Amino acid sequence: MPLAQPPPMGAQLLSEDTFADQRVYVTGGGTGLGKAIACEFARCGADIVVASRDAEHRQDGVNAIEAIGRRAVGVEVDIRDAGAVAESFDIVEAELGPVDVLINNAAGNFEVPAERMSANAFRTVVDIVLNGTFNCSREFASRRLQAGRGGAILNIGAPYAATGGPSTAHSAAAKAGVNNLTWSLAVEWAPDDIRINTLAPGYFPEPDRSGWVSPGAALDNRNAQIAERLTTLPGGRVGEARELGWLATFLCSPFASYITGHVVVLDGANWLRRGPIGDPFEPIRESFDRRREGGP
Amino acid sequence: MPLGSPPSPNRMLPPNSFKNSVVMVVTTGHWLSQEIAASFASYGAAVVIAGKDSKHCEAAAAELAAANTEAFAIGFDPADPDSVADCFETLEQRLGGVGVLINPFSEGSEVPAEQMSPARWHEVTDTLLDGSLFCAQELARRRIDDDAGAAIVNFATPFSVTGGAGLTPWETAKAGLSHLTKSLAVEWAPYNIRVNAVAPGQLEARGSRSNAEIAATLSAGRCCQAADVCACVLYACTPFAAYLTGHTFDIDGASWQRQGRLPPKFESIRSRYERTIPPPE
Repeated sequence: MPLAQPPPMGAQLLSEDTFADQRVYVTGGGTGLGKAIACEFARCGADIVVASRDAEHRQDGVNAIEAIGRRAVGVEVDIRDAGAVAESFDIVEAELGPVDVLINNAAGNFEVPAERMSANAFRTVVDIVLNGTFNCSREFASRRLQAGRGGAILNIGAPYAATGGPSTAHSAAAKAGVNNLTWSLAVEWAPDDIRINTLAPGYFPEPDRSGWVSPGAALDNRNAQIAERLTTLPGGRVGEARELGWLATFLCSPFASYITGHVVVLDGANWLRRGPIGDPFEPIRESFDRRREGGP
Repeated sequence: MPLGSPPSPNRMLPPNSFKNSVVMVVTTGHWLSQEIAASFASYGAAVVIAGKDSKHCEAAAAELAAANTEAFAIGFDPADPDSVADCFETLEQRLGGVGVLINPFSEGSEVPAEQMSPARWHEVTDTLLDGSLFCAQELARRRIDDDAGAAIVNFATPFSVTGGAGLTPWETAKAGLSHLTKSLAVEWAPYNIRVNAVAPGQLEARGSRSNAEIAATLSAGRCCQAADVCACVLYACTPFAAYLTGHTFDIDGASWQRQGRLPPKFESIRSRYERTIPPPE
């Protein structure tokens, strides 16, 4: 029997008043895992800020939160721009009230062998993932410090931050930077009751995107590719977005008051899978090209 | 303003979250194990307090039973695989299969490595490291046989990256447990047996030491409380954490990362030991 399926959609780990009268600001909160995490906070009583560059994504996120019965506002922001981040906080705080929890979820990533990765590609991914996380965290924390109130930050990381990420060197370096930032900021802000942690999801195929299936994979090919991936996972199943939501709400709740500066990997032990004898090694360049041409 | 205090973990999960579960808490007599047992009991679990000191286990179980809990005590030696097997046989005959195993925890007391006796080393590592493995093995064999799944929680240390000077047997055993947690998680994920660990930071003192004095040395501004650890252990064992395995939770208020630009003056372990611990009569 593989790892058990989680409780059904809508089941709640924490009660519906856990985040009552709190505002949760989610970058990239209009799609995929960001939206799923935002929805779980809403089920636990929070109002949500859906921060995104894309108007359609923002509207999707707001609709999902309102369907749960909570308030939501969308705000346009490019997190690479610290000034724009500050403005976005001004806008949403005027409308909803002060932000209590920040989820640094927005990211950019794509597979490419390192020698074909342009300097611009590297810079862009690091700018969104690492600099964007810092910009939002700094803005959030300075407002909380000013108000004399604690708060919680959760970064969305990646298991390969610990091992390196061949074929995603830019993202892996940026996510490793986020882990390190988590450690530094936690010590700096613990005396002010501002906690910061990182949640690193394993393979969580997103219902509305091809996600990490294969470079350029068509959505209609998705289920077949997931089925193939299952055979590679020790837990025998992929992650469900709601499981990330539950862990995210736990880490930002008062029940985790003493957890800060911590990186949690939720991946069914997949990143730990290292045997003395591995599968035959294939260079990244070759596997990338093969898969891009539709191969397995 | 230090890190906030946690609410009672007994109000975290949906009621009766562990009804019909048998939870085995292996104890060295530490109050933290007893608090964890009480947390599971508050969600309807049948709790077994198991350890080398039968009298302690009986008293601890009686305390839980007084609060209207199904609680049982059993004496065994976690470092002896035969004793572990007998213990599981006895309690599973009586209560049914163990679904949650909480492995032993103990706090260290400082001793310079060159002065530590082999007996001291083994006393600690036999129970914490070997004992945790033997209990986990016995549980896994049984749950693989009946395909019922299980959740195991080991006790690790937040200092596995930095080492734990002065506390070598405890810190080494706990760092080993963090590694064991990872290996067992991969080995047993195919059988729905999840293995995680918690690594509490400086626990609040229950006794003569001053908590304020300890808190002043911590970035968190307060000590780790039982509720901090219980909430995390409960989460790790619920079905809501069905995809969580191989993980060690640091519950330490960002203590291990604290590398100041101007750290306090360094004092050797031996010098501090001789200064603070009175010589034997």
